[in-house]
Amino acid sequence: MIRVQSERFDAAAETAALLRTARGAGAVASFVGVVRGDSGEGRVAILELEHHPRFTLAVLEAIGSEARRRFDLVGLAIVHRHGAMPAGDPIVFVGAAARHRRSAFEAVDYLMDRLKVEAPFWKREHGSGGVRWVEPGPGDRADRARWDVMETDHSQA
Amino acid sequence: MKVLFFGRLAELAGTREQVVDLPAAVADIGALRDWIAADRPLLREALHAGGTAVLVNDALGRGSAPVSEADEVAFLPIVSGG
Repeated sequence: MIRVQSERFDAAAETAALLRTARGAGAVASFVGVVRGDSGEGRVAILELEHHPRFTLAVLEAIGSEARRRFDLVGLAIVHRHGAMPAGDPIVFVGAAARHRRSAFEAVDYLMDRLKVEAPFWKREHGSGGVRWVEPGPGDRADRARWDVMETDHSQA
Repeated sequence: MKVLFFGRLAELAGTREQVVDLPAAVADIGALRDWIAADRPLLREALHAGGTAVLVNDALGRGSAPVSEADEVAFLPIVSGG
């Protein structure tokens, strides 16, 4: 299940839904990203995300497919929000179901690293420093690059 | 033709969406990029600086990809995230 929506999500309900459809799962790992109340530029009141209704979803689906293949997942969920969100709001949910825990943990880590750098969302912070566009930093790119040299076979993990 | 701008490009274009009558001479993405930004220097600079992806009917296209009146074209900054 991969969705882009403006509404808040319920992480527990998303995890339960993932578990219902993940046949053969021995582990589910999940992650919730939250709008941080501060950035390098000061206090952040609102984070605003713009997306392209079809292209953004297509990119998320491509990233999800790659994660399924790479980590031999039996279930996957990505829920990403768009629109204006106050600090403290959940912004992204990622869940991965696998036969064994290591694949589930790693898939979630992998998905988040790729989403941070590649998911087409255009982000603006509204806060004490005024309004500013947010772009991935060198740390995000380094996190993403880790996976380029770490292809391993998880089917027997 | 419907032309969409995303992120910072919408700010530079002064709009997120624009419906235009395409001149016959504008037949590919490269020509559209020049024509659409002709009277908006900041937008022109941004579209030529690299870092912009172009979708024609939701599919990524290069500068030589053909465009026509019935298409929807979107200009997007490829840098996003954070």
